[in-house]
Amino acid sequence: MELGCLERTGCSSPPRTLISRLQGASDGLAPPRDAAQTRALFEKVRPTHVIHLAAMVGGLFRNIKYNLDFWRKNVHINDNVLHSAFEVGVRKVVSCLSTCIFPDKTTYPIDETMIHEGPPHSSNFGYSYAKRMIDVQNRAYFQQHGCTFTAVIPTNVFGPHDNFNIEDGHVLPGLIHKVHLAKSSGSALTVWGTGKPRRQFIYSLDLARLFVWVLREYNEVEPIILSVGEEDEVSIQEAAEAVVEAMDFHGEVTFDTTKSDGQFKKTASNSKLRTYLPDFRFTPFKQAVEETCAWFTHNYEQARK
Amino acid sequence: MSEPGGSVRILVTGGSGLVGRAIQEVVADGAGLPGEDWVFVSSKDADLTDAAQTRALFEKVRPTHVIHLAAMVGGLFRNIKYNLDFWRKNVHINDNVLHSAFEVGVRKVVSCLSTCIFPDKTTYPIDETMIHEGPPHSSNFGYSYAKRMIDVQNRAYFQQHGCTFTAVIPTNVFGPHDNFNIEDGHVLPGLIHKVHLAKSSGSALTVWGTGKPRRQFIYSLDLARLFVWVLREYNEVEPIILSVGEEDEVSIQEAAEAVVEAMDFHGEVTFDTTKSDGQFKKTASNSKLRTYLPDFRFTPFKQAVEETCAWFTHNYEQARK
Repeated sequence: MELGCLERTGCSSPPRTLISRLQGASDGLAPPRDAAQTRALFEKVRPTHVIHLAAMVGGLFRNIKYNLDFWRKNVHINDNVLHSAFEVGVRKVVSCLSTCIFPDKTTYPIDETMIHEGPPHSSNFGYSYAKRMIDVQNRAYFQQHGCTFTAVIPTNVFGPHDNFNIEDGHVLPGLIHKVHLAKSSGSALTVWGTGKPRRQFIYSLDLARLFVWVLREYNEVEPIILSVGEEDEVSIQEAAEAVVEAMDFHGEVTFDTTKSDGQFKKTASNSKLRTYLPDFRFTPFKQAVEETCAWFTHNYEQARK
Repeated sequence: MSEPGGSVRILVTGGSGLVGRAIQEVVADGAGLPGEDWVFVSSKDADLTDAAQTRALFEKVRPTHVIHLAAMVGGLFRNIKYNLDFWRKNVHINDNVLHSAFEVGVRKVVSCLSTCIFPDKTTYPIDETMIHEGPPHSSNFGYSYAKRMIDVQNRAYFQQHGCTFTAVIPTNVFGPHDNFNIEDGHVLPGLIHKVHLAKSSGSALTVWGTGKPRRQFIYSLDLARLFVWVLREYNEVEPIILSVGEEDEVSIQEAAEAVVEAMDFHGEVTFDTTKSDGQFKKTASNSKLRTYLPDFRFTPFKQAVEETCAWFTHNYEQARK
């Protein structure tokens, strides 16, 4: 499975892009050459720091069907990356968790201490446990070797270069793609569900700035939630309206209430972030949506969809 | 080895350990059925942390069934110090065994969990539904999570491929071939070794802690018989606790007294209350087992202790200690 690219950002030299296969082509029939390839990559690049974003991800329906693959492949990727990092003496690794891995039965708002307080939702338990085990492995590296391997927990990320596939992607890019199609074909926009569930959305560029801050300044092993505050939670209907406005859509907007709403809310607390960065300013939601819609429109051909 | 055809070939990993040896014994004593071919392997046969070696072992043996006992285990102090190794190596072993089993078409795998992996904060008695309801005790979180993930992976094999990969959860196992090391081993073999040394040197027996914590002990030979039953008859993916009932819980003091009596020790027995007691209780419910096997009879505790003490005395030289 191809993953994204590792980019080196140097101040004076242009970013270098290495497209690599961290995941072996076949599954278990050969010696673990994915581990070997990962180690070879780390020896070639010799990083001092790592931001680990690579994962096998998918929409709800794929997760439901392939819990074993989502568990195994992500555990392999994570173990290969973390252990190669350890072996070449990386000083810090920042991995990426997700609010969907929290306990299914929980109180709100969720916070960083609650990750393991009960089982995750059963639909994607393979993916969820694999992500949770990043935190377990981080703590084990710290306990046994004193390493600073940590993780962040973003809420719903969106922005340019997203997966805009309507079946597989997440809600906001899905809405953007749908509005684009509705405009092109002169039809209505049909939003799945009632529109009432609420989400905290974080613009990918804001998340990226925070990732860089975490890499440099955040030295706890316990993860940190990166999100707008609870007060900035919006409903799916409000998100749809923002997309409609950004894309200047004038057609009808309907809600297909036969489709599942998913979780009603997943409200996460960003108090820890605000303790560290009380003055960090998130891009206003409407502006971020506008920028993302503009990107999608201009890059329609090559966008992942 | 060729395909067993219509018969059954059972691969037992961790075959040389406490439970593995007990299964060997009960199978040799007649628990095996005609047409069953039992293959016991240990680390001498393959390094199960290595995927290629594990796969080669499975292709060579071609089992139809697997009892998976192999693990990196250790006493409290080793666990506390090496959480990363206990996590990684056990995850590797378990993934290699489960996935090799899947790939060669094994019909059933029975793995082995432990009551120590349950949530630290919990109500009692603990039961099979509670494994993931909160984090385990922090001292051995690496080991505990690795064991828990066997259950997660079992459920994933079932969800995606319909496999019957399951697990058992024994309480405190004891018996011949145990690890009798006083630092690293568990409480009952530790007591047996201590009494042996106290007798030899004419000194007192010092039991660590207050003697008040309570445990359910299961004799390895009883556990072995139940493992064979699970392999043949238990078809749920959710694990099953294998233990004596709550009513048979004993205190550490009572366990010490049973060892003292079995070994005919007449010296002084003292309690070093400066030493940690560990968890006060870990009471597990065996209701699920009793629903399936209402009439299963466990070896009486005193008899099991006597047999284990006798084994230790007769095999002192080669016993693991």
